[in-house]
Amino acid sequence: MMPPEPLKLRVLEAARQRPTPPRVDRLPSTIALAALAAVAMSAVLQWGPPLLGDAGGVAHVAGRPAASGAWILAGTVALALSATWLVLPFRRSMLSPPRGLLLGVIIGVPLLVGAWLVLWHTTYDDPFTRAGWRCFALTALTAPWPFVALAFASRRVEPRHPGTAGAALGAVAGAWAAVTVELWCPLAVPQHVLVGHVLPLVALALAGAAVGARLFRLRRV
Amino acid sequence: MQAVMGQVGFMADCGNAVEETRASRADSAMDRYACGDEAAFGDIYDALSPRLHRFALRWTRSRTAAEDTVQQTLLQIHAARHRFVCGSAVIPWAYAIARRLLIDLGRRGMREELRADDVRDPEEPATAPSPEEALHRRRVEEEARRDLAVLPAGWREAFELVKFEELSVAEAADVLGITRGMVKIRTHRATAALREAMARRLRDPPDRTTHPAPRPSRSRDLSEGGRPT
Repeated sequence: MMPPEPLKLRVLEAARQRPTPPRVDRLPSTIALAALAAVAMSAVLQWGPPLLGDAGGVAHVAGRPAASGAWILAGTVALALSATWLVLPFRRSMLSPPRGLLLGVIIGVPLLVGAWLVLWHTTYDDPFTRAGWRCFALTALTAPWPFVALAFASRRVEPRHPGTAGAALGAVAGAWAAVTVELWCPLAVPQHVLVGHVLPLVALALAGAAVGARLFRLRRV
Repeated sequence: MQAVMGQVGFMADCGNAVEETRASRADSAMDRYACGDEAAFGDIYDALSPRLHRFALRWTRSRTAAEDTVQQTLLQIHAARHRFVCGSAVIPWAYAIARRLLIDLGRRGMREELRADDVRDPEEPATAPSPEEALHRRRVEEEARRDLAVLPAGWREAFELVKFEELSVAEAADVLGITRGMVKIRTHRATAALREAMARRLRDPPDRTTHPAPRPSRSRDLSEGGRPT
């Protein structure tokens, strides 16, 4: 059964009444936004900790051996890059990756960040002891910036699973925030890692799900 | 039932070449439209609307809702024109949008009302059959529809997209947001479940007087391969 002819006229008229611009190259804006996000994250790293009653900047991490620090940082960067590559639609499609893959990223990022840190705990003695709430707060302050850049880079409309897509972006933003926090925090004791490094990533995924469900859902035109 | 299933098999086998042409036509039209060719939207409509209309009509069984879904889907595509990724497949994207709109429609509690709206099946031939044939066909279709309706939603959706909408496994996976392997598994399970239901019915036909050539009733023991007692 073919749709009736008046429907075509109605659709074409409705489209004519709501003009949309032709395609624009989003790459320069995306790169600019990513650069801005990197600057904002650096600013948080520098001036965020003093707000929490601690010293800011990379000097704070001095208590950790440089080699361990480099490995921890390299692993976290690799994880963040992989998660970004998996979540962002780099392939030629208007749709995000399958839900299973997104769920894998949502669950995998916090687990791998935590496991990678704890793995290096045995290589050095922690310079001091903290519960981890400063790292939690620093992650929460750092993550919104990459989240904005990632949301812009994605297609912004996800008709199938907007909540899951948002949660995956939240997890990836959390992975980039974890990279920043690793530049500041020298601790790798399991209790601290759980509270300060894994818990905020779980919270960010949940927040991403809530934001994504509203931001990426289909709205009637 | 055999006729319905046979038609499903025929559609799956023969429709691919035509559908590929239609897909490439839709893709090239969308590319042109995204680049600023205003007239290409008419081509997008021509390429997508029959399929979307059939899909929505099968889902809702309401002409009004189907037309609204087609209109909304095309307007969503129009609204996303400036974000369209060059070389993307339009058909899975359009189906994904239409499916979401239909799910939302169902969530608003309208689906049951819409299903009550009696609309002819989109696959039904236009020629008028004899009253007996029509009655028999309607009963077979009702039974097939009932079998399809009792399948798990995931199986049913994969089956409908692959068998009725003639999407490839990759396209159906894109529409549903699952992996290709999962689409294959769900379609296979749905097919097996439908085949089993059909076989069960053929073995044990319900006692109705509407059938054009009623078959003699057989005892359950015999129909299941046992000996009559």
